[in-house]
This record gives sequence, structure tokens and C-alpha cells, in this order.
Amino acid sequence: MYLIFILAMQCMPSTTSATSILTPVGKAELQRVLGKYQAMSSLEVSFKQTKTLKDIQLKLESEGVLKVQLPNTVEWKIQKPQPLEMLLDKDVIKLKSDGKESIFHASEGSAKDQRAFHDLLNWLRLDASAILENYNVVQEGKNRYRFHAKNSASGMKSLVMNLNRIGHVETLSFEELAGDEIAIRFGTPAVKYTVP
Amino acid sequence: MKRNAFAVFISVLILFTGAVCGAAEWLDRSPEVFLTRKLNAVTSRYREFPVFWWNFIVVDGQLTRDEGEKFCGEVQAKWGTAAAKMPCNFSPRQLASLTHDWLADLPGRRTLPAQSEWQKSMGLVLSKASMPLPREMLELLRKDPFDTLAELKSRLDQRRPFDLPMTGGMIVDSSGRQTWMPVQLNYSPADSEKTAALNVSLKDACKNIEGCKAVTMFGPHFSNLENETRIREDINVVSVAGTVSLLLVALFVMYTRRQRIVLLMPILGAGLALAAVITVAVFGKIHGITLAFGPGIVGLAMDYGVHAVFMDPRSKATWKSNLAGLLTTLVILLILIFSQIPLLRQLMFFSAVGLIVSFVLFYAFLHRWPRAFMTKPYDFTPKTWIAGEYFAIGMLACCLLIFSRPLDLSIQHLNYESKSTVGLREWFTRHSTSLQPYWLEENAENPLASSHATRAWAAATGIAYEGAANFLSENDAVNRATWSELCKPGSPLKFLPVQEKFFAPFFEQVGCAQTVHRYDLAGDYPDYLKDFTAQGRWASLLFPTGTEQAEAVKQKFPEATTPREIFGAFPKIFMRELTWMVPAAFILALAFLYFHFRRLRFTLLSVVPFLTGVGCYALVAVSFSLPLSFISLIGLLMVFGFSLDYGIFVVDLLREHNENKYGVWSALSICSFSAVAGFAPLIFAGHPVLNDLGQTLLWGSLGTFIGTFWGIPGLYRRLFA
Repeated sequence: MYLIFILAMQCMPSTTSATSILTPVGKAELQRVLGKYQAMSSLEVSFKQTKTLKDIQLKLESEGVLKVQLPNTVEWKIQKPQPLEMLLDKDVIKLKSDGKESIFHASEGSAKDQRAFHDLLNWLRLDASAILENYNVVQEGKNRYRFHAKNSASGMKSLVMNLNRIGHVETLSFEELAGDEIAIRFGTPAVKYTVP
Repeated sequence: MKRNAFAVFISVLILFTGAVCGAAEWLDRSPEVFLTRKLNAVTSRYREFPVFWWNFIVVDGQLTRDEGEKFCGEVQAKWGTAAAKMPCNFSPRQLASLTHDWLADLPGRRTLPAQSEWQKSMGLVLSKASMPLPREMLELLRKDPFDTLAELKSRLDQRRPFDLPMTGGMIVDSSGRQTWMPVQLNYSPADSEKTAALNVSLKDACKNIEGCKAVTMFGPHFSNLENETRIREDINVVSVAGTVSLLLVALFVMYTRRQRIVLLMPILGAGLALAAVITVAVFGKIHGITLAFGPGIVGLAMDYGVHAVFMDPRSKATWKSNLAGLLTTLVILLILIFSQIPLLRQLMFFSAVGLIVSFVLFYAFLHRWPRAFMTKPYDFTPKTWIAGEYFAIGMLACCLLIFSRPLDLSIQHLNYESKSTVGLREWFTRHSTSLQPYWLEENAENPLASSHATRAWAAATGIAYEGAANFLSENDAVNRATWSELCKPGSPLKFLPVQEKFFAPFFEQVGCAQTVHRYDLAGDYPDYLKDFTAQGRWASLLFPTGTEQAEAVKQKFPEATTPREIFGAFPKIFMRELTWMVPAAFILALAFLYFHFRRLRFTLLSVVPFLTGVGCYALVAVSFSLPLSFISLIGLLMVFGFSLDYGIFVVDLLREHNENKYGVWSALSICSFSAVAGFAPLIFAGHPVLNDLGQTLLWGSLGTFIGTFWGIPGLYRRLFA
């Protein structure tokens, strides 16, 4: 279920804050960075993803669009190699492919699934306090942040986020416990803000 | 004919032996002994076919979701392969063997897909695989380019014989204080030793979870264990209580210096042992319940000895009455031997053999050494307490109360359920959507073709079907042949390198479909069909949604049944048994009595002890709201059998105008006291079958004694003297 997690990471807003290499990012700092995006109402961004299965030396490539509608809706649309849509809306997870639709409820899943889902909500709300409860964050360089999961049961070792010059998420890569890697490169996002 | 405490004492020894030799091959403890052959065959489906091996682990206490999953995980770790499926701790590893067979058999299920379908389907799976997934899920996708596992999952879900909304593979009741965890076990419910071990490990796992206050199981496996445990405990309780009770009677006999009666015990013991050996030789095994109750009935033979020792051991009149008593009892036993219920057949056989053998032994020993056994009778007669006659007449009138008791012939009355299990069953019945699939056994010669015929009919009728035909195609060979294209040089099928590499496990598994195994279903079947087969038999399930569809199923497949229909059949079978047994027993016994007395009035008078026995039991049944069950009716029939002995002795005595003859009254009293003492412990039995029989025999015996001692003489003096 850490699929949800990656989606959460893909909604991560860009930040322009930059400090020294491997500087731990505290609550106040993360709140400050995330605070810039409190006014965002929706986001749409294209992506290209490469998943590397290390043991068989295989790269799976896919591309699609990520749409976020705050506070609770996320669409992860894979267009290649074959269309596949995943829609997260509150408690509901919908999978659509080839005209078929499967619906799941996060609350009916396991405790682990539920935790992952709540993780996602934390990211969607850009709740720095909640994020820091589950991750240790360090700044590795200019516009480069590494998130270490505190709980190994989350299914991944670490996640690295790079921001572009103007502060949007440019690449996101994470290493799974099994050793596989997923690297996602995002296009230029279209962001809408709520009118104060 | 009457029983004696000492006889039952011997039985206690045998019971102890039975308890000690619990694992002995000749000792049977199975609960199926209560079922008729037909019902056993029908209900065996629910024991033998894995599709019905679902149970629930029920945890009392407010578990958090994390605690529930931790508990579930611990239980699965402890149970290992004994748990086939545990939705509360699901992982693909649980179904590894099943999914392997399912994925490998794809070429048998369908023809080789066209290039466009390959590309579309593989692309979709690769899209899925691009997401972050656990490695084990990824490995499954590599073997499933056509995404068929979702279909398998929905089919597996459909096979569950319950329909309850689950959260994380668990069902939490509305109060949040009870959690139900479904689990499909991997062995038959008949293997209760395995279930007992699982039950123990369940308690251990509970100790490690803070929110877990108590844990139990609910389902066919646990029900079987619960019944067997109850029967075993009952045998122990009856053994101990019986010993105490009979020792009291023995002390009375010793205290009143009639110790020679004790010499009859070894003779009866030999009769019991021989009866047990013959029963094992004929039936292959002897059931614990036969050992618990049989000696009580065989103990009737002790009465022949007691009568003889209190009178003249060589008296022809005594032995003539004894013989008449034996024959009337045998008439009833022989009728019951024709019962469709195996337990009754065995019990009656054991009793009949024991009675005959013991009778012969008593006759031989008492004739050979009469002086060694002769005992002075007690000096009391019915006239010692004449008010007893009013008591007996009142009890006679009470026999009409028996008609006020509700008749309960349900199967539930043969099944032991602890109080907590009753609560769980009621909860389950209230909350579970009652899935009543029709069970249909397929033709054993060609189960696959038969299964396909059923499926085709179900599809045409719009009825949901589940069975082998959903998984194995009739065109298996044709389908597989088309897959050889995969290996042909110049095949039109082209794959991208990434597809070839990612789906390499699939291609390796399928090969060119030539190596795919073809199942004949005769002992050779894929793991995903395991639920539908047992000992070479194959079954299908039909799910009609309304009365019309249900009627269509019954019309097409009259042999198809639902659990509800099976339960409904029990009362009918019991009633069918009773409708011929009761009249046959009465007619034959009364005919025999008439043959003995040659007078209708004496014949009717000798039935009085039975009627007072019924009156005594009815009085207790009304007082304690006991229902009239199949077993209690059988018990009354047994009371009828032995009460006639009492009647014969007393009516014979009164006919000879010899009411003051102490020997008969002494023998009757000793026999009755020991009978009451012998049967009294049975009412402590928790199993409804044993308890019902115990209640009937105890109160029936007591009433019989009152009717014999005061009822017959009182009525005789008033009506015929």
C-alpha cells in the first residue's frame, strides 16, 4: 500500500528553501517550506517513471499524469504502456483499466493499509507535524531532501526529492526494501490556488 | 427384569478402562454415531469437503486493529499449514500453491490470445507493475500477463459459506467487544486431536495480546471437538459419580448383611466383557456411549440373579418369571436394533447379547452352587407403607402430563453446544446472510463432464454456479494445442524485450503448453480445485436466488441439498422411526404378556409400572421444562422394556395369592435402588443425548419401582381381589 505513499510524495509542493548538506530538517523548517502551499487548491502534472528491478536488471518505464484536488482527491493516471487510472477519494480507492473498475475502501483494509492511507492524508494536508512523526528529513544539498521512514514496515528505505530552480518537484526517487528503485521525473505543474 | 447396582459397578470398571484406553482402536468416540446412514452420507459432505472447512476464531475483548492483526499473525505462525486461508493475515504466500497451479493452467482454460490481446494485457500488467508493490506481488504479476488472479480471487471469495462484511479480514461486532476471524482449515473436522492442539495454541496467543480477554473457536471443527470432549468428560463424570453412587448401595447391602449378592458381580462382569468382545467383533468398534449405557441395561440381568438368590436359586417359578422378563426385554431391544441410528443399533445389540449371556451364566452358576448364593430376604412388603398406593395411583394419573411436553425432534438436540457456543451461533445466525448453496455431487465416472453439464444448465437458468467446470475447460487439449504457436519459428506473436524479460517466469511456466499437465480429476487435480473434492468425489455448488430458482434446482437435481434441508430432514427421520417402533414395541410386548398371562386384566396390570414410570418422568419434565426429544422417547421405550419384567414378577406373585412373599419384594427393591443409583449419575452428563437418556431412565426407573411396589398391588386389591 505504499503506492499511496508515492502518490503522496508526488503531491509534494516545491520549496525554495536550501540549507547546508545533510542538515536535519525540523518541524518549524518543514512547516515554513510547506506553508507556502497552503493556498493551493489543485495541481496537475505529467510524469515519467522508471522502475528498476535490480535482480533481473530490468527497467519498467511508464508515463502519465498526476492530478490533485485538495483536500482529499488524487488521480494517478498511467497512460503508457497501457492506460490505468487510480483514483483516491477520501476512503475510496478506485482502479480503472480497460473499461473495468474496481473499488476498495481503505477502512476495510489492514491496519498497515490504513496507516498508509492516513500517511497520504497527512501529505495531502501538508501537515508537517504529522509527516515528521513518520519520517526523518534531511536536506542533502541545494533543493535536495531525503526522507527516511522511521518505521521499516512502510516498505521503503528512503525517498529523495529534488526541486527545480523555481521550487517545483523535479524528480522523486525512492528505494524499496527489496532493493528496487523507482525514479519519477515530473513536468511543469499547473497549480491553482484558492482565493483568500 | 430389573437392574442391579453391582452390575453397573462392573460397567464403571469398563468405563474406566475405556477412559484409560482412550486411544484404543476398538473404542469409537465419533459424534456421527447419532446419524442415520443416509444423513451421515449427506452431512459427511460438510465434514469431508474442504469448501466447508471454514471456522471462526472469536476473540472477546476490545482489540485495536493492530492487536487484531498481531493476534492473527501469531495464530497463523503457530498453526502453520493447518490454516489454509486466513483473510485477517492475508499474504500471497498463503495461496502460493493455489496461484501457481492456476497461473500454470492458463493454456488449458483458453486458446492462444491474438497479438493485440497480448500487447494490451501485458501493457496493463506492466503499468501495474510500475507502481510500488511488494516483491511477492510483483513476482505474481510476472506469471500473470492476462491478469487472471483477480478472477481467481473473486471465485475464492464466492466459495466461502458465509457472507459477513469484513474489515481487514475480520468481523467486529457492533459493540466492538468481539472480533471474528474466519479461517479455513486444512484438514477434516473429524481430526479433533489436531483441533484440540490448535485450540491450546489459540489460548497461548491470546495471552500475548493485551486486549484479548478470552478466545474460542466456532465452526464445524470446533463443534466436533466440543462434542467429543463433552462425551469424554461425561464418561469420566458418569464413571466417578456412578462409583460413588453404587458404593453407597453396596454399603447398604453389606450393612444389612446381604453380602452374598456381591458374588453375582463377577458373573455379570464376565457377561459384560463377553458382550463387549462380541460387539467389537460384529461392529469393528464399540462406542464410548455404548460402554456408558450398555452395562446399565445389561445390569438388568443382575436382577435375574438377585431374584434367584432371594428366593430359591433352583426355583422353576422364579426362572420362568426371569425368562419371561428376559424375553419381553429382548422384544423391545430387537425392535430398537432395527433403528436407522447406528448408536441405538449398537447399544441394543450390546444389551441383548449381554442380557442373554448373563442370564445363561447366572442360571448355570446358581444351579450349580445354589447354597453359595442364597440370601435371606428383607422383611418388608408393600403393606409396610400402605400410603404408597395413593402415591403410585397419583403417579399413574401423571402419565397423562407427558402429552403436555413439546416434542423436539431437531438435530440440534443431538448436538452438544456449550453456553458460549450457543451465544456465538445465535450471533452468527443473526448477522450472517444465510448462504444456502445447493450441494450437488457430480457423476463419479466423469466428474468434469458432469460438472460442465451442471454449469451449462445453471447458466441457461440464470443460477450462479461454482465448481470444477469454472476452472477446467472441456476443450483443454484443443486449447493447449493452440499454444504451441508460441514456440514455432516464425510465430506471428512478437514481444518487446522488456515484455519477454518481465514475463519470463510465465513463459517458462507455460512453455509451449505441451508440458502443461492435464488433470483427470481421479486423484489428480490442481490445488485450486481442492475445495470441491474429497475421496474421489466431486461436488458443485448452485446459488439460486429465489424460490423459483430453488425449485428449478430441485426439479433438475432432486438429490441436491442445502444445510437447511438436511436439518429439516432429521425430525422426519426420527418421526418415521418412532411411528413404527412405538406401536410395534407395544403390540409385540403386549402380545407376549397376553401369551404369558392368558388374561387381559393381568396383561394390562403388568403395564402399570411403565405408566407410573412415564408419570414420574412427566412430572419431572413438567417441573424442569424438559422437552420430549427423540432420545427421551427412545429412553421411554427402554423403560417400557424393563418395566414389564417388574410387572410380570409382581402379577405372577399376586396371581398366586402370595403377596406376603418377602423374596420378590426384596429383590425388586434392591434391583430398583441399584437401578436408580446406577442411572442417577447420568443426569450429570452435559451432552444432550446422554442427559436426555439419563433423565428418562432415572425417573422412569423410580416411577417403575413405585408402580411395581405399590401400584400393582393397590390396583389388584381394589379391582380384582
